[in-house]
Amino acid sequence: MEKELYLSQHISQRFNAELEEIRNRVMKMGGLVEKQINRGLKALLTSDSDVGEMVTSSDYEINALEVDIDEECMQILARRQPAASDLRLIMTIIKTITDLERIGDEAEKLGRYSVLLADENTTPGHFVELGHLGEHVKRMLHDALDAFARLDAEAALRTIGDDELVNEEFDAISRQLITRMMEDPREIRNALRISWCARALERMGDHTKNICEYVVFLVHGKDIRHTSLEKTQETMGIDLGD
Amino acid sequence: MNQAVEFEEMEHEIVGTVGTPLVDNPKMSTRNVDVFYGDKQAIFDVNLDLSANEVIALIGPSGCGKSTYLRCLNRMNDTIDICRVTGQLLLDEEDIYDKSMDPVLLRARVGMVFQKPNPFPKSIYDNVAYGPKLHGLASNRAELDEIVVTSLQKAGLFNEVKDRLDALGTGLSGGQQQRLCIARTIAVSPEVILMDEPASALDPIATAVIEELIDELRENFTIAIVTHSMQQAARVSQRTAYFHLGKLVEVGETNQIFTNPSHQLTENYITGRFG
Amino acid sequence: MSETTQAVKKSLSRRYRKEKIFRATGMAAILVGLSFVVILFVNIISKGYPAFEQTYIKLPIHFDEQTIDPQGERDPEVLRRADYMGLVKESLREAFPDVKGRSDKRDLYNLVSKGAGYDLADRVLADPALIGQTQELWLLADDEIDTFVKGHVTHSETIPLAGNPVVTDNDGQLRITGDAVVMDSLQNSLRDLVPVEMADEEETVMLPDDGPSVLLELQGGLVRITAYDPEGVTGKVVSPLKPDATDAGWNLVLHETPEAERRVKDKTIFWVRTLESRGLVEKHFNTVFFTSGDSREPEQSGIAGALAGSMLTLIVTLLLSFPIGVGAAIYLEEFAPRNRWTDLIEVNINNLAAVPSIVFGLLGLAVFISFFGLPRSAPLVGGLVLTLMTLPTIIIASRAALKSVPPSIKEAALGVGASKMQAMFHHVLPLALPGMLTGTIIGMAQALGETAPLLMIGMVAFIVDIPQGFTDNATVLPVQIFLWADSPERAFVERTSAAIMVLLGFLIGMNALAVFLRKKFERKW
Repeated sequence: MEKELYLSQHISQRFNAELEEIRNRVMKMGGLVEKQINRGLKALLTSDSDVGEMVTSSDYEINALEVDIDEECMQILARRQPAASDLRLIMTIIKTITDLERIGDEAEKLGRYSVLLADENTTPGHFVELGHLGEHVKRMLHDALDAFARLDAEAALRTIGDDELVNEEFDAISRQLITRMMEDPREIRNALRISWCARALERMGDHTKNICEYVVFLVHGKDIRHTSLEKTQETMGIDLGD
Repeated sequence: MNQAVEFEEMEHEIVGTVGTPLVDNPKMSTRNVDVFYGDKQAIFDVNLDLSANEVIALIGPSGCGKSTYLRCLNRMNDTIDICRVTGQLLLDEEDIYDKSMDPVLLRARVGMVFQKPNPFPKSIYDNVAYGPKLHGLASNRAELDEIVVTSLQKAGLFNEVKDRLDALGTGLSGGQQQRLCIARTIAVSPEVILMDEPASALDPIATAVIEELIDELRENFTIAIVTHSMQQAARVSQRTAYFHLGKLVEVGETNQIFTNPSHQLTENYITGRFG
Repeated sequence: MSETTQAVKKSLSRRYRKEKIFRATGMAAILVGLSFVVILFVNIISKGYPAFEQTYIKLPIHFDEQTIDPQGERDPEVLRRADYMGLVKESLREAFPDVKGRSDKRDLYNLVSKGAGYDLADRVLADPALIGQTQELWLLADDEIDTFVKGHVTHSETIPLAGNPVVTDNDGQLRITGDAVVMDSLQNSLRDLVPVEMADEEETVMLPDDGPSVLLELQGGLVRITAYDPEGVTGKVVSPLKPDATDAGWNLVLHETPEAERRVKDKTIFWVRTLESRGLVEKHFNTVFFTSGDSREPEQSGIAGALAGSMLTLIVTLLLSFPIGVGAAIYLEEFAPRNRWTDLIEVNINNLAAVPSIVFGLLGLAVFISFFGLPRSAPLVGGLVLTLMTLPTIIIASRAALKSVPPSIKEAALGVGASKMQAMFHHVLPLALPGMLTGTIIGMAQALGETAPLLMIGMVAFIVDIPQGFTDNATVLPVQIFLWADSPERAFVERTSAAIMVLLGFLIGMNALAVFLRKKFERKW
């Protein structure tokens, strides 16, 4: 039977407020991470080392939030002994913030490399693909956070599907970079750096996929980690078309 | 509280019982059970099986009928004049409401522990010995002693009272009294033990002792426990049944009920959304 | 301090004052009640306790064979019918040889109770070896004598006089004179005793016949003073003087109540005083009160019959009302279905507790005696009537006791597999028993004091024999009290009060027993 998830409407208003608060914080953390990715990409694509440095120095905010939210989750577990959907919510949040923090770390890498790359005079041309990949990942994360906010499992599933494209794009960039490295050994250092940036973006995609899996677990109570998308669609009776 | 009001107005359909109310080879089996108090119906068409050697928890808001249902299983509702029970209730495939079934005999096979500890105002020994003596389960004093000692041991009370078996049962602490009542119940070697909120009058430590006891008793008895505490239901039971306004809404594995119940009403109750 | 606290504080003094007034009123009420009880008890006890002592006169009795058993066969019938009073009379004559004349002798014989004869008969029947012997025995005095000895007949004063009076016979009247010592003593004493103005020392004072008796005991005889003057005293002989008597002293005696207003005359008093001076009059514990049944003669009457009747009646009542009452209570409380009929029964039981007891007597008369033909005045019928009367009390008390047992005990018993009956008898009944016992004992105490219904079924007759069985004629203690209260003799008055004391003693004892039992069996749960 399909159930509605009413995350508020507990008899205890304080409990409602606490859950509301914690969800807001997660969204805030998500927002911060998105900003970091934006900055990182911008720093890369515009070779702006100042922005790059800003990324590096702002990472602590995300880490602090992770610690905060973790603490709050433990308090809720201790005091409220949540069950069913409330319990899944807390579990989801605990896992999500871990993945968000990692995404933040990856964004920080982008910033760091952008500083290094800006020093060299590199042709911006190579960053177009990165930019494309970056936009993709950005959109993925945004969709994932959206799905979490709206508790939309189908949107989350679709976003999981997007990760395939991210992986393909990454493979393409890798091949290109390898070709370039083979053509011009002087390009190897930068190419490697670009490769690592691409790798960071690919990782962001993976983490975002995890977050989407958590959302599905929150909404439907089914753990779809390490299951293929087709299988998931089968067991859940959902057809995403495509 | 506007949200809550809105919420209650959303009628949630209870059509049949979600989950796994029925099992193979049940110890006790109930079908289409209705219970009426005079003209007022308290239980609506309940179908539920009790599996052998399991603990099944009956949960639900106040007045949802879980205690009423429990008392049907050993015909304690017979003592209430205006109470009428219809449907089929079987113990090991025998109809317990059949004319040929003696309620006295039934209650020796299906024992009951009550919410408020109610030891007889007799000695501890006599409390436990009353049942076996009544049913003639011991042919001499030595056997009776054996039964009393074993029951007290199984109830985890023997060590605390072994040198004062003549003391008045009502002089024990609340937790000890309840264990005495449990000893009294198991002294007649029932097959099923019904517990109606057995720990609700006890402090947390006594409660924990009782819960541990329930776990141990599971080896030899089938136990149905009504409880108000969801955490207790989660701790002690293997299956959980959720009652709502006299209807059985959902039955399932305890783990599943408390992480991902199937019915909205169950979810609402467990998460403290209403009821 | 918050507003609420202030408001509460203000009202506090008013509330405390009200409480003080209430408590004071309660104390006052209790004191008033207690004082009434005290007055009641003092009144009854002061009237009743003299009855526990009875006057006895010691006389030598010669068990003359000729009088008792002329045939010498020791036939019990003959022994019983012998004229024992004759032996007593002889003894009295020997004690007072100077008493002559039929009426005087009759008065002398009336010193001793008629019942003394039965006493002697009992002794001889118990031990025929007494025949031929002479024994000094304490014999029961007549009730008038007893009353006098207890001081209820008249108030007397005695003044011993000095000197040796001179007695001269003066035309049938006696003149007593003497020397200065004598006259002084006499005059002074007379002045003290007799409240008559001696206006002139030379005058002769006449003592009225209808006034208090002023007497002189001298020379073994008794003289009633009719007049006195400075020279001496004039008087009439009441009991003959013996001039050769060796008794040295002489007394002036005053009996305040005029002789015409008494049943005990001066002469009789003189005899009693004489016996007293010889140590032959004593008050002993009144065992007769406890061993004999009713009698016309107060000194022979006792409550034994009534007590036995009461006990027998009470036994019947207890044996019938306790099982029926308790059983009815158990049935109504546990097993009876709840419908119109049982409601009706309940209402009726409660009403019956308020019905006047005499109605039950009428019922007993109509049903048990007229219809069933049971003997009147028997403890059996009395017990039946009292059973009807106490049943409502017992049923109501028992039901309350049953209701007070917590239902959890019963449920626990049922849960272990006891049947309804077993749960009731093993668990509920023992816990309810103290209350039931209390109710029963209080009901019995009530029944013990009931008079009206028993009067209706005829337990008002004059019963002399102590009843042995349940169908013998009997009376009960309250009825006995009622009957005695009607009698005029002073001795019956004190016996009535004594019987009331006995009855009260039983009632208090039974109530104390109820309290004790309740405390003993009270169980804490």
